[in-house]
Amino acid sequence: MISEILSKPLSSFYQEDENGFVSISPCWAIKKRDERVGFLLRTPLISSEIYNKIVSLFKKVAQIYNSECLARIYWDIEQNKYCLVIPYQQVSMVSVVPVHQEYDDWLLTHIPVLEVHSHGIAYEPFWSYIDDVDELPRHGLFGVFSFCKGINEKENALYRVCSGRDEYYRISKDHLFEDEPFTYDSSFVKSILEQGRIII
Amino acid sequence: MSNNLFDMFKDIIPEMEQEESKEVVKKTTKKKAETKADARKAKNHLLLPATAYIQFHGKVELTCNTFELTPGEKMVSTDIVMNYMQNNYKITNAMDFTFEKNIVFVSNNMIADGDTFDIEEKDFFCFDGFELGLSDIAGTIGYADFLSFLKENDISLDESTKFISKNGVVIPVFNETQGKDIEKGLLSPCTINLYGSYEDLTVSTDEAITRDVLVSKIEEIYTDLKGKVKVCNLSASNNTIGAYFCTGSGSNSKSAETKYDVNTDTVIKFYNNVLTKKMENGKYTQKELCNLLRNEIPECNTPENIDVKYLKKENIIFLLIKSGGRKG
Repeated sequence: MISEILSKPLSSFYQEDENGFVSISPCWAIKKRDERVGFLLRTPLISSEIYNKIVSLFKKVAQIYNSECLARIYWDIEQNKYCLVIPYQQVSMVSVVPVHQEYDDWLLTHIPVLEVHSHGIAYEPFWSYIDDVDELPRHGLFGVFSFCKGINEKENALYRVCSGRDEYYRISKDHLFEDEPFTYDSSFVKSILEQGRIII
Repeated sequence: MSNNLFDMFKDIIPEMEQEESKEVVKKTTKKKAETKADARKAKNHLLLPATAYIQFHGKVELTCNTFELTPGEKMVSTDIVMNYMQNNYKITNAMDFTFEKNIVFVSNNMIADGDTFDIEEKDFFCFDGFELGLSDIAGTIGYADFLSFLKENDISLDESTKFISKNGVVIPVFNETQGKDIEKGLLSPCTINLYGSYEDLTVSTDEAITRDVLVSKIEEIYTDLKGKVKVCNLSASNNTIGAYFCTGSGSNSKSAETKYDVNTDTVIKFYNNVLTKKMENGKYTQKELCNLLRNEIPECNTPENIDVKYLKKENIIFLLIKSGGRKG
């Protein structure tokens, strides 16, 4: 029955018993049975192009503002592809707050897939109390980046899947993204900064 | 549930094992980790001295002495702060904590729905310096009856006030006073009662009293509360209005009270999925919808993260996942 549900695009389902649970969201699924936990990204791996845009912006914001930054990836139901959104956001060295939320009509056709934020150059990648308050009670995929080794060094990141039960499971980059070397995307960064989406 | 399904899923290492691996990495890079340790520590710590704003209670100054720290220590873990607050300020047990550099905001972000709530024998009502034992009225009680009970104990609140009970503490959840009611109901000079141990504020202006005027007055004096102030409990006869701060919505929003009509022709969708669960005809709140659909939609197990969009003409109810909030 669960295979049948998984074979139907963007379906959802939840079942729990004494041995574990299976949680199927439109774009990913997680299954726990006894001590074994499995994760499945149901939509294709997120392109390296999107990854490059995110990391490029995070690096630039870390470099010029020494602050955090937020990015969201959605699955566009109509276009059948991922869509990267950099929300208007208030940033500081210790936090990032989205100023405008995506709402209503747009969300009808865009499913939240992954939310990542950067700790800039000041902090290592880890899940802070503020992150846990926002993420642990939700169903979702989350990531946190750090450039504390330097913006010219390889980025450091953690990813997790939260199942809305105040618990989470670590996943890795290759669960989510295509495996390609990083390339800096200067035009994307310039465009976002010119739009004034990063508010100090 | 079949184990063969794990063939489709990628195994995830349980969190405990990953924590152990992290320890090994930390030990091998100890020197570098130590230089960053302060930065990381700061993330889950509060810088001292700090100020805690407790909704409906007041302002509390926190110093090294508060936590019996070594003189010179400038940070305290957020866990210790929360523990201290919950042990010393009963009202905070019903609230959420938000930490910023050297400020703590403690406020309720839950909404109250339905017409009744449950009181346990050990519960206390806490508000604006009042602490009232509720053992005499334990059980399920309507909001209106509880308001009458409070009035008998000299606590007068607006008739639209609802309540929540959490961790042995009952606190009010207010509807914000609408702008037009403020302009009709208050004359200059009027008084703001900022709930808690704050002094009443007098607002005097040549122009009409508006919500912005009231909020600006509070924010002028309490700059840390900028963007967080709400007004409620307007009393035209006394020419006064109440105010409080909140870090979340913290008020009975329309969507919490809205009921959605479901009949045999209603289509309930979660993005592209038309949900097939048979529902009895009737009116359902967002929370009730989520409760009934939680086996079809995992996200419905956390209804506060679901938005409902109702297209009345087409008789379609859409359930959507909300985007996230603040990170730090």
